[in-house]
Amino acid sequence: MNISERQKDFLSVIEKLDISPTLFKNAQSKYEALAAFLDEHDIEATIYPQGSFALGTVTRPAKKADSPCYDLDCICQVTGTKSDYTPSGLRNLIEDTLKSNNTYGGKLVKWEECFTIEYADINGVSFSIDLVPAVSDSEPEKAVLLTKGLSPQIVDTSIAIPRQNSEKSYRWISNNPKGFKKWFDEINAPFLMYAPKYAVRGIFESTTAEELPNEVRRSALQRVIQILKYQRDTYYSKLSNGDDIKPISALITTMAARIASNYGKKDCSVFELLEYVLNRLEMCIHQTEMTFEQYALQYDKSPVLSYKNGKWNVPNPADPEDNLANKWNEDERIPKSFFKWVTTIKKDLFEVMTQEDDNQFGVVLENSFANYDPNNPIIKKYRKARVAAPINASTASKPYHCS
Amino acid sequence: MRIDYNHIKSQIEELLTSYGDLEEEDTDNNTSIILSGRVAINRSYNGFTVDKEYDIRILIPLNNDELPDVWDIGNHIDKSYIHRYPDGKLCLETKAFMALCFYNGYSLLQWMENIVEPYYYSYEYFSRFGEFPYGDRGHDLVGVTETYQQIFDESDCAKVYKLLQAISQRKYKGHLPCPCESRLITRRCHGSFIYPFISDDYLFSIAQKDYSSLCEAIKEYDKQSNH
Repeated sequence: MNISERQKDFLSVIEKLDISPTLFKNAQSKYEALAAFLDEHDIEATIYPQGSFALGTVTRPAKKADSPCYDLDCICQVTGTKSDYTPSGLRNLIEDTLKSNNTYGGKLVKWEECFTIEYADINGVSFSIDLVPAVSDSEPEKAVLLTKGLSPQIVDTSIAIPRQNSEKSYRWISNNPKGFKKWFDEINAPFLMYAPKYAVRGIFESTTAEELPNEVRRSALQRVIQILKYQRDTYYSKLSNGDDIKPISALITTMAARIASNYGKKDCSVFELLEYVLNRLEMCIHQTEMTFEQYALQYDKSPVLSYKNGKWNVPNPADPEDNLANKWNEDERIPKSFFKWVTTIKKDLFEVMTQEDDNQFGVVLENSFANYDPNNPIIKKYRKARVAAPINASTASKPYHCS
Repeated sequence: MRIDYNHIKSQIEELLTSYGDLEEEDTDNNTSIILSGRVAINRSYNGFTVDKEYDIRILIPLNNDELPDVWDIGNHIDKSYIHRYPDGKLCLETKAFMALCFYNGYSLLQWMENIVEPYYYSYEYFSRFGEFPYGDRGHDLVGVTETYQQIFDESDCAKVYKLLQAISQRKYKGHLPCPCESRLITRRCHGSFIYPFISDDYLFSIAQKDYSSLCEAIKEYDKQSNH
């Protein structure tokens, strides 16, 4: 049993599921073409990635494992401010312009906040761009954000997005993906210094080592977030209402980054950082058993996930009044399942990882990744020829409970 | 389920071949057969795999009206788990469900694969996710009623009660109206589901006992409601 080999193998599965430099470049050229198209129609706009695409924490959705498709989120920020448009006016402007074109019009799917444009497969991998129309927040709103203690550099990028209320009615909602990215990048920068500059990728393109562009280089922190997101998606897919109660990606990213910012060893391995993050998260449950002061004294003075006066709170780094754990206070299943999940993945990735039995580690790999990449040779390396016989739920026994 | 040693011998051999580490203990072959040892369970459901080994003891009763039982001798199952007796015996399933499986032709190997292995799998799944993968039975009579709901493919408890009542009278008339009062004739309604419990002595004895227990519980409930 060789722990470092197992960790390396685990990471190679994650790496293989990541977006390739080719796909990244392709997506980039597609949203740049979109911006150029809008420009031709006298709409001055900047299109930039947001969310996991921008942060380098993209995960592949489990659906269609044989022909994977990534969902990439982009902001389409039109020049001007909120005071220059009505929410429905901005939304209709983008929609009508896109619809006027054969390339985009036929592919357009409308959602509450965005339009989805699907692109064709490249080497069996496809992607779709979720385009979110936006304008800059107006000065009075930015002034309010400044009073909340945010830095002017972060406030400067605050935007307003039209969100659908009913069929034809829209309202503005505030967001700041660039501010969030700026906050994240600052924490990630020292970890990124130690990230691999090259990667061997055999699946999407040539099998030779290639130098990675910065956008697809992954630090230990970014890998930790990707691992947590894959583990979350797999775990919560087994729970009834799992989609409603799973921790949102922004919450996972914020908590992991805040914990990492306090971690002294920036040249750490992915698994060192992952263990540190999971331990700090697991610790947070103790806040429910004592006063905040007692917790501060015994465990942590400033937990990333705080519990005060019966309320969980994780402030959004780009807007401190936005509590990313808001839903946790409305549904007690959310914190309950979250801590069970943290304990479970700690057991899988640290206890089983160090057990003698290779097959048990293979089972962890199979349970984590078979939904995404069932034929990955790494899973087979540990599982050997062992194939689990499926259980037929209609004939399976249901355990009884008699006195 | 009255089985004698000669009748079951080949099934025991099949079981010992499939689970190489199980061994037959020396017992009086007139009353029971005991097998013990380690079994490997490698099963999956809903994208989650369990591949583990468990130390178990199986008791197969001979020449009496009992069903096989399993004990968790390796203490793999947490003692607080509600589907395990304090002495380690597993609450595998209701009698009615298991007996019907044997009536439908289950061998001991099929019993292991469809009853015992899914029990262990279900335990692991529950420990990890806090939910049962394909459900569990309620406590005592609730679980018994749920079993007949499943067997009769009937969600209405009142109809299940009426069907059990008809079974307890042990008369099957396929051309007469179904006891569930659907206005269909029995053979076009619940006939095929209730017939085994009327025709087979062992299934009948289980259903009759379950029906009596249900009647007692209803009587007790009515008595308490009137007070």
